[in-house]
Amino acid sequence: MHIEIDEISKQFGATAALHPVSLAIPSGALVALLGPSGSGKTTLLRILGGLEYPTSGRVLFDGQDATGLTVQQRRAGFVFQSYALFRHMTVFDNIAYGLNARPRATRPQKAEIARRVTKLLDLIQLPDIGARYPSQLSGGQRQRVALARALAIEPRMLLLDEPFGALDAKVRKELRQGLRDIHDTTGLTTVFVTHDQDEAMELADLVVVMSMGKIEQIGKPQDIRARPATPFVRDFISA
Amino acid sequence: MTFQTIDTSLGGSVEAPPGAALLRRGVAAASVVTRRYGLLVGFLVFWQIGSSFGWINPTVFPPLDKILAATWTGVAGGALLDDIAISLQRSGLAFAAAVGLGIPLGLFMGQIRAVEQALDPILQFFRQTSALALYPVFILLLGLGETSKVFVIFWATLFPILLATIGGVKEVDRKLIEMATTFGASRATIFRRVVLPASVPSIFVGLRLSATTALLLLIAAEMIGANKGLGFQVMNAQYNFQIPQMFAAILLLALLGLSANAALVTLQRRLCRWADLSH
Ligand SMILES: Nc1ncnc2c1ncn2[C@@H]1O[C@H](COP(=O)(O)OP(=O)(O)OP(=O)(O)O)[C@@H](O)[C@H]1O
Ligand SMILES: [Mg+2]
Repeated sequence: MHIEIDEISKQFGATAALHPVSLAIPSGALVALLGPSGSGKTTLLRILGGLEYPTSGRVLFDGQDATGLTVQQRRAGFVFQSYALFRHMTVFDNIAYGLNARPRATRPQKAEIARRVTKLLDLIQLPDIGARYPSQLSGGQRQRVALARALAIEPRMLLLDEPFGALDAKVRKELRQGLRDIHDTTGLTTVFVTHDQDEAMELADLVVVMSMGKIEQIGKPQDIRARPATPFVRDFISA
Repeated sequence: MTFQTIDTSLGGSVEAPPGAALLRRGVAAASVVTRRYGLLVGFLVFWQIGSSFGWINPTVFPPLDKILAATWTGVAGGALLDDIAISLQRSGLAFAAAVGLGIPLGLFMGQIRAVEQALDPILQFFRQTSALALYPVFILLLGLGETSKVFVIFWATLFPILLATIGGVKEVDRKLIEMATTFGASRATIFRRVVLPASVPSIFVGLRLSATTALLLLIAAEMIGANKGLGFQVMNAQYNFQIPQMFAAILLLALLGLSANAALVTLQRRLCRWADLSH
């Protein structure tokens, strides 16, 4: 799905989290929102997902105005560092959660749910852990399960906020590749937030550098490295 | 963790003959029992011997066999059965009422911030007011009969359950609720599938605390104004200097407390298997 952000701003009381920003995300792209703490990355992502509404501006999905759509109508898959798994449900039930939560009329049959969960467990390369509880998994495995849970509803886009933030460097690297692979298999338009420039540069097709509620530069990783558009970008990526 | 234990025990039985493995397992189990109950058994043995040989005053601490004999006569002979029944009825009724009111009210209050904020000061005040201090008030209001006894126990058990339930609901991660909303879950579904299960461990903390409190208040209420019940029998036996009978009633009260706690622990294990796994 093609996403267009048109002059979006967001005000939290007196603080401006986003000054009007505009951004076009081509269908199927893997985009990184990169920037220091407080630069508005999470706010922009939450506005895309419908968890927050912009103070002004529009969001367009495939050219259609989606600004007023609710979070359910947008059908985004979320993976947030803070969105832990449900501790009282097995991995299987966690992944199936989004399907089981649907009203009876649109809920898939039990067998169909089981088939999808099994397929997703294969996709995240943890085929045998369906019966376990989250407390029996490592941090990296939990985040992979969270990814599977987001994918289970067959979302129109995937939104990730520092999905590997709490993990150690080695696991982060593995999961980066895992995310890339899953993105390439599913072809989903994917936006992920990070303040780790290596992660952004290595993983993304398109990097959006943000600072203080503004977009400093949008470009392919190699272009941003070769030609930083502003002094901020130059300093940030050489840090 | 569990898998490893299973693995090692399997490995052991392959190498050694089954008899030896069984023996080894028996010894291991025995050492666990010793570590856990050794001190208690030592204490009881000391009591029995010390009392029989007169090292400790046998009129105040009669030998255990006399206490057990008095317990057996009281239960099998039927003399104490009425008291057990009435004590169970009082504490059971009060506890059930506290659960029936405390959990639903707590779930409701925990969900709605405004209600919780408005009622919290009153709750804190009532909680700090000892139920026993209020017992005379309840007697004035409800008379010296069963109602005031059940009510004072109910009053004391209600607050731990209510506050633990409110706490459990309030502590449910807001992010989990937000995430459930992103999946399009309705309020009712979120309550049933996210909020309620996540609050269960906290609710059980309240239930176990309440069960202990129920017993405490039961004994106090029966000592103050009753002519039946185990608490009454403790006092009565003491007045009549029937010390083995007094200890028999104390023993039965302890057993009552232990079995209530064991029942709650078992139920908790079944309902929150997921919470145990992390440690
Ligand atoms: N709900 C809110 N209420 C008030 N202010 C907020 C809220 N959410 C974000 N802000 C403010 O908006 C600004 C941008 O926040 P945002 O969370 O988008 O930053 P971020 O780039 O994601 O930072 P981080 O890397 O630390 O997560 C910050 O100044 C923050 O304090
Ligand atoms: Mg953030």
